[in-house]
Amino acid sequence: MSRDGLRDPPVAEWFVEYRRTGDRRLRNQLVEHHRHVADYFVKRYARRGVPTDDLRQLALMAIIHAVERFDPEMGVAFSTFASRTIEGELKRYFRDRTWSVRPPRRAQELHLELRRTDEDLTHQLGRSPTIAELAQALDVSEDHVLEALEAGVAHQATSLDQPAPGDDDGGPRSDRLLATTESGFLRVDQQMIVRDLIADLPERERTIIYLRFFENLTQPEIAERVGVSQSYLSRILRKTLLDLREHLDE
Amino acid sequence: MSVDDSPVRLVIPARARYLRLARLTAAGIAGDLGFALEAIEDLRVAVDEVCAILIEKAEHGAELELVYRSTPDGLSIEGSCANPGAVPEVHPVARELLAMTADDYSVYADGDVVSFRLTKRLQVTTG
Repeated sequence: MSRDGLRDPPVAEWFVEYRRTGDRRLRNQLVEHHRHVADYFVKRYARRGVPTDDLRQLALMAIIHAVERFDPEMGVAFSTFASRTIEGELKRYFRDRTWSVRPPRRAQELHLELRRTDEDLTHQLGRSPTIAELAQALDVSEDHVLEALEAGVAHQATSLDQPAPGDDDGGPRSDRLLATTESGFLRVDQQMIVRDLIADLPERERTIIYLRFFENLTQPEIAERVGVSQSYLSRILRKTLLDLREHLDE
Repeated sequence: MSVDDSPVRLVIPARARYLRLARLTAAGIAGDLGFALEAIEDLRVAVDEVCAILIEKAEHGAELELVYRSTPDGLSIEGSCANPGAVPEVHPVARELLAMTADDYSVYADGDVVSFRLTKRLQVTTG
């Protein structure tokens, strides 16, 4: 980077020092110095109709993550590394926006992965892995590993666990989704199945299920939003729910 | 899940490596209160950021004391740390992060103690 010609600050040294100390002020300095990389992506994506505030937040977080994870010894320029990180996060955002049972790796899901990774690493290392090693293997933060450890079977996946908006009884959404078949309690593996099944649905059906059970919209509201007739809508809902139940009974 | 109103107090060494406990506690309480995941992620960032400001100049052996309270409209977190000197200056990047992730925050000094107060509102979406 030689935007400033002769006045280039010793950015490479900052990175080395930041990796050594984790000093917050250095991190902020590095983020500020590379802010233009984030701004570039904000401009580029702004035309897609995403609120600029969201984009700015996303890009700022992405550049912070990039600074936190950048290893000067990797042999790539930070701007290259940061661009990849930002672009990746923006793409994920656009993907999630269409189907927003958000972050793909919630504690519950991660909990299952964690057990697998634990086994693999234990085997590989010949000892029980540390939190840091697990975090690295799973490409998540150590906080998330700790949270995932907490997420025992008694808990339910957060996305399906939160009361739906305007829900009086505060019951988990997934329970409501399957209330007519189940006793009101879904096991983790069933939740995973539901999630997978929903993820596999064609986009329109997914959106409908989402709006009905997660956003708690009424059928007429959904019909209008999605642009289908109400009878078609109730057919889709019925069919999808039957499919889901069938899979759960298997 | 019912939430009783007793505040949660956490005292940790005023060192960056212990901030995880401040974040995890915030996440745990916010989860109980029914915050959505996105808001919880924001809260973790905000707590981390504001605590980092507070402990920046803390002396070795100093403690950071945090109090988490559920309020009628969400969660409020107060923190304080013995930190001789002026109110720490908030870096523009930290300020921006906090503006994005907290509903309200302030950092202030009273004698040798610096404190913050941060609030995150529970969003009620109407379906």
